[in-house]
Amino acid sequence: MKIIACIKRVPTTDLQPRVAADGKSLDAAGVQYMTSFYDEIAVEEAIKQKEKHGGEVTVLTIGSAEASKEVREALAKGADKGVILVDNAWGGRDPLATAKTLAGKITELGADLVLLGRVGTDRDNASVGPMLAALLGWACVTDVVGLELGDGKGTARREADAGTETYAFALPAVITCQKDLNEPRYAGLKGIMAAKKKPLEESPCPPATSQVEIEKLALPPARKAGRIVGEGAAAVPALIDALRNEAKIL
Amino acid sequence: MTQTTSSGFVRPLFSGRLESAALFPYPHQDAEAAETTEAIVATVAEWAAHAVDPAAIDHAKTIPASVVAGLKELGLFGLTIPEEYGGAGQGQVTYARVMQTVAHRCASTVTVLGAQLGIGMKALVLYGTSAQKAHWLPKLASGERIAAFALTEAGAGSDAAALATRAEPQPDGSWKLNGRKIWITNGGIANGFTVFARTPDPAKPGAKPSEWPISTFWVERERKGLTTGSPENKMGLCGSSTTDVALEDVVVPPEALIGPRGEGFKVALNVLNSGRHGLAACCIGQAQLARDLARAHAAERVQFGHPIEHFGMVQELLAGMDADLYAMEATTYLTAGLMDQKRETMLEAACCKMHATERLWQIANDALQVTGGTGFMREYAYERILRDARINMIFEGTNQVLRMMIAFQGLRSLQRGELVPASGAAHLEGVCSELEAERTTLEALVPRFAASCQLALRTHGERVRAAQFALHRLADMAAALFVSGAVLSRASASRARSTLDARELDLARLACRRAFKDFERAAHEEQQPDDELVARIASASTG
Ligand SMILES: Cc1cc2nc3c(=O)[nH]c(=O)nc-3n(C[C@H](O)[C@H](O)[C@H](O)COP(=O)(O)OP(=O)(O)OC[C@H]3O[C@@H](n4cnc5c(N)ncnc54)[C@H](O)[C@@H]3O)c2cc1C
Repeated sequence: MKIIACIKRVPTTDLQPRVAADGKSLDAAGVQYMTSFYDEIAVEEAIKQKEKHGGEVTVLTIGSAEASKEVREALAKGADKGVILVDNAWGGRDPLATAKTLAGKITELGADLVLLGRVGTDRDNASVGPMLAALLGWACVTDVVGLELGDGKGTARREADAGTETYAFALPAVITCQKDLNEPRYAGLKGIMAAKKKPLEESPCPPATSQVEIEKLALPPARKAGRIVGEGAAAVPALIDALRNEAKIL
Repeated sequence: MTQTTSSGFVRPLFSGRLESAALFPYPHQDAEAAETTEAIVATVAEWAAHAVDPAAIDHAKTIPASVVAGLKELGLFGLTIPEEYGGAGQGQVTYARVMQTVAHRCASTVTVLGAQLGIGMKALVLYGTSAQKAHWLPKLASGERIAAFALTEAGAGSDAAALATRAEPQPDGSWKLNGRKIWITNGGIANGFTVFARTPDPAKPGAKPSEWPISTFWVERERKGLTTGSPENKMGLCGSSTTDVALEDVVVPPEALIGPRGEGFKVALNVLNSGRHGLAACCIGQAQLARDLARAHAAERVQFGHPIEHFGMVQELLAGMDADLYAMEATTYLTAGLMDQKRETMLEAACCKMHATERLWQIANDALQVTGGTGFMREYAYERILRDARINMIFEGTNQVLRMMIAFQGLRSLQRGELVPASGAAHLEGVCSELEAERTTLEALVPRFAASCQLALRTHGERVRAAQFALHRLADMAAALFVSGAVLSRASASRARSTLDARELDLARLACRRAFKDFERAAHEEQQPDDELVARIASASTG
């Protein structure tokens, strides 16, 4: 089984974001990066399915050359090879441009299964997976919490508002991963040492023509400081008064 | 001028020499090794943050099996074991970084690792034959088995050479061990023990057992007659297992002897020489934790209308923590790099341990002070950090014993003529121009230190080994010179890489000044010694 896990290098979730001087991007100074949370689930699932069914896991990303850190992490956990399509402006791509580039590379590499996170933790678009499936003409199940693969086919479970849905599909397929699908492992020392010897290909990324452009980025307005009106039961009338007349929510 | 650097940086100081080549350039891992180290450290930090609950461990006085399993799955029990024996083959720099990282989360947890890698299996790695290593190391590397280091006995603490455990040769070549070790870290969880015991000297058949030389043995838990006691109830490191190890007619095969028969004391000292360096790295991790907590508190806590970080007396504490940490890192990673280059570091490692353990104690105390009454409350980490920090000044050589070692080793080299007093001025090569003032100060202190050494030798002659008041001062001076030298080397390396920013420069300057003050304090005591007063007061009975 040939499995490709697509990952994205994103700012760490504890980032205190600042808008850069151009007003359209994040100030890169001091930003630390990590693999997008849901993409780690995709990598874990890819490795698990390989461990069960045999085959090979390729980790694919569009990003700057520094994304080798995140790709090596996936290799250390058990993926077999890495591919970085180098684009230093990866953060500015729209989902369709990303999906098109990925589709091109996936067609070239060939795969039975492509796994992605359900959403990137930087932009929250949740679009690349379904777009990629549409471009490839493959089956797609999103937000998957359970995945079983058989001979040329599979079933996937997803939690919908109304209950659990189980889908059957034929391979090749694109699956986007929800957090309950698995618990990502830690890379052990052995894996980290082995990852150094695994192939990591860097190739230039075909130019992206994004159809959507960021016009402006702004941080949410600062919240006003809270106020403690008093303590204990004696403070209740003051609190009710403040909620009724100041906050006007009672 | 052509001096070898084989004697390190600290020892030549006693002759008034600044051994630039022993400090410069500040060692750096090559890009590939650094990438591996960073990857390991990142995984370990993430794992520790999720899997280790230091407060719960302290409270339960035990480390949950899941944490030990995690260390095992990550492969950390084999971190420094050579790859050919199933380990990850990492050197001292990576080891120190990992120790620091785990210690930043939990002092008890890191002690399990330190007892395994730093001391427990170190004798096997350093002195084992390839057959012994092939036999025992793979299972230690995988974490299937855990190691402990059993030297201390009721009558043999600092004076480890006074140990009474015996190993008697049996007609079939095996050894029979009898004795009792106390306070053995990992005692309750270890499957293999490095045990030091007296063995008869075939050349001196009539000698009393107390005169027998010491040998080193690898004793597995399964050996009949080996038992471990119940866990000690300790002030700190509560999660770490500390127990007695009793040996009653324990028979081990001839292959259990590690290193040459009768050379065990040397084995123990060498294991401890490298082991105590890892302790310094642990101190950095715990000190960072205390500093981070105190800083956050000082920024948030408002009194008299200002966050308390606004007040000078709080700033003194906060800035001191940062400068001391800079110095602790400088000495520890300089020494780690030298260890990886197989350079002489016995006295440097002792200085690292002494300095880092005492600065951690100070930082933990200051962090609690910055936090006020909150810091005194058990629901916060400060008091635990303080309790955990205390032991570092005691085990793997008490800081008094290390001071004796540092000062006496240097003086003895002078006495023996291995070091010849320098005639000219001391010069340190390689310091960046931004730190010229600090370099000049350091250079001026070195001849003064050498003069103090000569004074001690003149005053005490052959009895200098027992002249502890003088040894104490000289060790403090030597350590201060080493600390400031390491700081200058570290900052100059940053300068060479163009990463020396204004803040790092400030830190380096303050770190040097604090070291110089330590020197001057000792120098002042030498000029106006309290020695006689102290001796009289201490020896008078208080009844
Ligand atoms: C939690 C814990 C874990 C330990 N783990 C291990 C372990 O894994 N393996 C192991 O073998 N041991 C272990 N030890 C033992 C530890 O190494 C000893 O406690 C230490 O070496 C000091 O010995 P002591 O406690 O007997 O103190 P003592 O030697 O009795 O010293 C008491 C005081 O006297 C001072 N002193 C002693 N002699 C001199 C001197 N000549 N000049 C000046 N001052 C002197 C000391 O500095 C100290 O302040 C552990 C101890 C503890 C508490």
